[in-house]
Amino acid sequence: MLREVGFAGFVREHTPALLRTAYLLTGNGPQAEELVQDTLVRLYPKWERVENADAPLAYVRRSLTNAYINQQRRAARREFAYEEVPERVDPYDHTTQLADRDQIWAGLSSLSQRQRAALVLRFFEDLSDEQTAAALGCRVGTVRSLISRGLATLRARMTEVPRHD
Amino acid sequence: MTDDFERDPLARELRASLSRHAAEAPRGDALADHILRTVEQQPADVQERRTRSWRTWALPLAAVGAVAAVVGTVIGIQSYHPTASAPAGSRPPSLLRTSAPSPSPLSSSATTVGPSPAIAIGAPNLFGVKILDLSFANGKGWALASANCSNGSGGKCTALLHTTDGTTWVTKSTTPFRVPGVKGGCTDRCVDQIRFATESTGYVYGPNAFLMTTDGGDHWKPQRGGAIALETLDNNVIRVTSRHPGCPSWCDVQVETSGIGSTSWKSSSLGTAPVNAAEGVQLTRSGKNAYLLLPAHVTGGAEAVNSAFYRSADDGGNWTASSDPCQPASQSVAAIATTAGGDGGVSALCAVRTGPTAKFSARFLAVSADAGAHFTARPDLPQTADLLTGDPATGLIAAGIDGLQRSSDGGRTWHTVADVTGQVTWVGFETTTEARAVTNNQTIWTTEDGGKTWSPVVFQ
Repeated sequence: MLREVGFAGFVREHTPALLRTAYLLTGNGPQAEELVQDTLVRLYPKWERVENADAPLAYVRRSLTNAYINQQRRAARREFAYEEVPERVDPYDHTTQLADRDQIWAGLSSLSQRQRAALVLRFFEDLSDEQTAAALGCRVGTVRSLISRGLATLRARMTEVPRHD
Repeated sequence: MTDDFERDPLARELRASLSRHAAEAPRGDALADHILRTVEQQPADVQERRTRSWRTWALPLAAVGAVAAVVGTVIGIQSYHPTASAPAGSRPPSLLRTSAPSPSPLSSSATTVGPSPAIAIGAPNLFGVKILDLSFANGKGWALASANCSNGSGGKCTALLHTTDGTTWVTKSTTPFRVPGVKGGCTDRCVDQIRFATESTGYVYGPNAFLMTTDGGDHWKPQRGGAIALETLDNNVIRVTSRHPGCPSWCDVQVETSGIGSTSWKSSSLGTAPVNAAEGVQLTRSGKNAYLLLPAHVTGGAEAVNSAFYRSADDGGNWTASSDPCQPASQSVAAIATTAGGDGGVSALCAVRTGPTAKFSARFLAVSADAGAHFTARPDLPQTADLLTGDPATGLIAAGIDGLQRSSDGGRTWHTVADVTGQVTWVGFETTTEARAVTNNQTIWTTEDGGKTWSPVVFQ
């Protein structure tokens, strides 16, 4: 019973915050909802372990981030497995750029999942490099590299000149 | 380095952008309610919620004679070396004894009393077995599983188990694929389902992997694509794929057909846009008829979502979209499982949803005698179920977290099978009287009298 109470309380208190993080990771409302639900339902059977963690919210956030990264990996493999010839995407789609006035938000979609996760955790969740590394399950140096490369990619996107031909 | 990030104007802009877009996220109140209702129905000790059912009906009756009565059951696990690094030495068979099934007439009460509980002696050389999927063809069976690695590393390894009599199981040494939960992860060639069309030709598959054997599982050859459902019948194979990376959820379902053992597949159009489907896409067949059910996806509290249902009368060559077999109804319902029977019979297990949080509660059966063109609703089942197998004309079994229920009158009345305990994760008929079920991913039950009595084989 204690677990149920603890779980319910956690879900009610933290689902909105987790949804915001999931939304920034996925860039999509329904996918964010699915990510949060899958993460919490998957953790429910071992909730005692979550509650015994030093920071239960950090534990869940780490699970959510890993689920996001793994989910995207599966998606990428699935597309590859069908051996389809991908349609060529013009990176200078002028119409799209004009339509999306927030180039930073649009540019996040061009990052790798780990880069995007690192940026979200670092600049939205305000986690330290060490905390971000713990959430991503990697070393601090890797986190700094992910952030540095992510920012560089965003900077390159923003300085691109729309093609008018 | 950290200070450098903070001084970077782009980082400041990024922080502002993230904060601005975070406000666009869904509120989460309804989702929290839905999550809590979802776990209400999930016992704490159950971590594997995915369930399976045999979807092809009417295998050759000749298979009946291939399976002897389960008396003094003996199970042997030999040469268990699920990875190349594991010891390859042969091991002595281990014993597992069960009590002999004592046929009992069907009780008039709501509970079927079967044989006394089995005396199971686990296989000493094989531990931590978790059965993921089963397939039988002509009396021979294969189980896709994971088990503790025999090299003492402490992890789980992929195991392919084989039986020729339904009770004595040996491991196949060659498994050039992986299953979920194994050491090192299930990345390349990750499969979670298995189907055999004949004693020699079979398939293991997952969404991104597809392998075929033509020698009974000794050797496997990777094939193009993957599958989320597959059934074989009448020298024909139908497989279901989804090219959409978000499936389950949005599934761009494709159907392909092939001859058994062929590597050439022909596409069949369903003629629809991607549908919002849950995990557990089901394909069931009988004769020339095939039925495809894409269970409604209710994540996030969607209230008015129905399952998608397709029918084929030519072994999967052409398909017709139909309404949810459980509609119309006065309540919000959706089909979650289906099973085909002879002479155009097909049944659907209907889940009743109450309230805006889309909680599934009661179950009832919808049956059709005209190949799915029209369905008639039956009374509620006595307990919840997620799996359905059998034929309304000869016998049905519904199963799930509360065990087994069976009906011999087309779903009008149901009897709880008392001797099968635990969560049923797989169930399927092989003939009109012989069926198997797996409970807790660890025990394989066999019935030869249509589900009245069951005998277990327990893996430890």
